[in-house]
Amino acid sequence: MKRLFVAVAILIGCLAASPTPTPDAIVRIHGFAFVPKRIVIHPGARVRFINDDGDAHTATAKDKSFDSGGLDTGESWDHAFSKPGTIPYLCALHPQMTGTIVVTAEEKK
Amino acid sequence: MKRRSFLDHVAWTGTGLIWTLGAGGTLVATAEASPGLSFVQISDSHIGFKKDANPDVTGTLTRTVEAINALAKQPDFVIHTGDITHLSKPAEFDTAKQILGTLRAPLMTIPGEHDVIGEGAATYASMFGHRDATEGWYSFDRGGAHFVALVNVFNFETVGKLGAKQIAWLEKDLASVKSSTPLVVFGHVPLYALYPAWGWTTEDGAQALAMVARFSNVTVLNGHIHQVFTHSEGNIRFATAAATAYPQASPGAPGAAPGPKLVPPDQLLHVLGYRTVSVAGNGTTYDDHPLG
Repeated sequence: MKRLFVAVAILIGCLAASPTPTPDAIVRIHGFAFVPKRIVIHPGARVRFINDDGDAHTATAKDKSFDSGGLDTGESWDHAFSKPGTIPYLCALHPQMTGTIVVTAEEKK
Repeated sequence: MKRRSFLDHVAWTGTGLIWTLGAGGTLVATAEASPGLSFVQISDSHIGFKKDANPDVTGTLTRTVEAINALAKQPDFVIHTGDITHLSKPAEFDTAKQILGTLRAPLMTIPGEHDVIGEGAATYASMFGHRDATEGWYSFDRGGAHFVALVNVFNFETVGKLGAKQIAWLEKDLASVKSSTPLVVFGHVPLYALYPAWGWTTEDGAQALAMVARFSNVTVLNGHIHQVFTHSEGNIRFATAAATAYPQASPGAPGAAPGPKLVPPDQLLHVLGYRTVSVAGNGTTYDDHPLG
């Protein structure tokens, strides 16, 4: 039983130490804007939203297909986009802040 | 009927007017027969916020509650006009509930956009929702006045929107209220276009304001902008409230954005505070009280 506890503890330690997967694209939230405002990614790509601003924000799809929830200053949130399509999104706290994620299998232009 | 009895009778039947004996013995209607009441407005506590603009928002909310509890005459109720929490987290609601639960006067609330992030709306409703507010908004009569608590933060694509359902409800709610009744309207985001570029407006607020324009005494109290700002349109007087958490820049200040504003630490309590309001037949008056 003791060995089992040790094995579980090591496993939890490894999981805790696992680095967060590197994102394929980064959207920074700065100056009450998403930067860049529009990104084009391939299906399966992981996007990291980083709040560099002095106020809390969200990244929320207009169709609710993704929602970061509240991101305080310095917090980030990752999301992988699997289906091709164009997804407009906004900050639910400041809806004047808008952005677009384009998920396409075609080469970026 | 003797004249004295007649005077007692018209007063008791609540015609909405105070009758006095004018020149030549004629009765003159002078004002609403309202017993009056007082209440306190607090706003924008942002429990969970811990940046430089105020690293101790629980401390400043606690200080606010203590100041209200120390008032010589306790208000009939305290209304929190939204943004109780910063990120709608259950722990933030819980902390706020504990602090606000120490108020001596009854508490009422409406949500701000920071209280309805993601699943926050459900958490807010379960912890702070008004018992008569099936949709979030509600009204009540007290002290001879009519109070309406509106919610303009439920549409995540347009912060500052009432929606057709709420506007229809408002029309029905006001239909039976006499124009001479003092009317007090609460909402988180300002109902008029205070500064739309920063989202300080309610997209369909004009429809609600058109409905209240017939009332002779209307006071609209909002939060959201973390500073006292007054305005009037006809018989409608608007006043936004100071926050208990942190200040924000003046509308359209050059180079500024609608976020937390850093002030010298020794100035912070001077820009936070609460508002006492007195409602009577002859008018609604209010005083803003800084915490420092």
